[in-house]
Amino acid sequence: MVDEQVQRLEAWLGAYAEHDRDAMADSLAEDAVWHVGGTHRLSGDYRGRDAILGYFDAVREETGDTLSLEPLEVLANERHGAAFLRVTAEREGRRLDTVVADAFRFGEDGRILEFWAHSADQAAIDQFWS
Amino acid sequence: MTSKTERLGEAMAAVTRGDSEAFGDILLGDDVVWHWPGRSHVAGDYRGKDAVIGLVREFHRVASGRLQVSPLDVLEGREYLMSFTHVVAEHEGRTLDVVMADAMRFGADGKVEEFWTLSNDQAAVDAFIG
Repeated sequence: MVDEQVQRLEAWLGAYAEHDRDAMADSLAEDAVWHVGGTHRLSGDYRGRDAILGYFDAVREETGDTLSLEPLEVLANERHGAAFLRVTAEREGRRLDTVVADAFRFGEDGRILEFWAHSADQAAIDQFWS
Repeated sequence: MTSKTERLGEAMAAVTRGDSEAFGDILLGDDVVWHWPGRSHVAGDYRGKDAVIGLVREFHRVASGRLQVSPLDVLEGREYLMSFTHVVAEHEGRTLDVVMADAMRFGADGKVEEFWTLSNDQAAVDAFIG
């Protein structure tokens, strides 16, 4: 079960990297909540699978699809998960390169039910999206 | 050798009994960086063990009625660790009740070099701290 949950997080990251929107949807609980921190244009809470996928559509559009998530370490048990990612992206001539800590809570069916993130350099992220 | 999880447990116990110095000595490297998110008066980056101990002391001040940190789950990896806690705090008639996820990167000496705090309700945390 624990390894299954690590695989589920890796599948989520793989689906994002491969533009597989259906596989991304399959990783998320229908009523999942995605908390995007900071004070930038995409900050806020996204409620429900469709809203979360819409957030990722906006990220791809705004960055010309340059936002890359490189896993440094992915951890999980049956209740919670964690992903430490190096995030790089480009937007309007600006470049982002930071480490982000992502926290996940899983629902009873193992899908992602809640997500929070915090960056090692939130000011850089807010500036990037400004 | 003490595991990261055991070391964190000892440090959390020190926070609960109000011993900020012991928290720092048990857990933190001398050059630790702590990223505290949000818009409250304590938001920002804290560099060095003494600065972080000062931040923990400030938490005790702004949670004068009660500061209870109950472990929910710990995910320990090679380099990183994510700790999920239930935090209940009280101050001058106000109550905070949130789930926090503390993300840590450990150095070779077993002490924390980088620390991020993530909340599932940052607005509530910011309103409570002020």
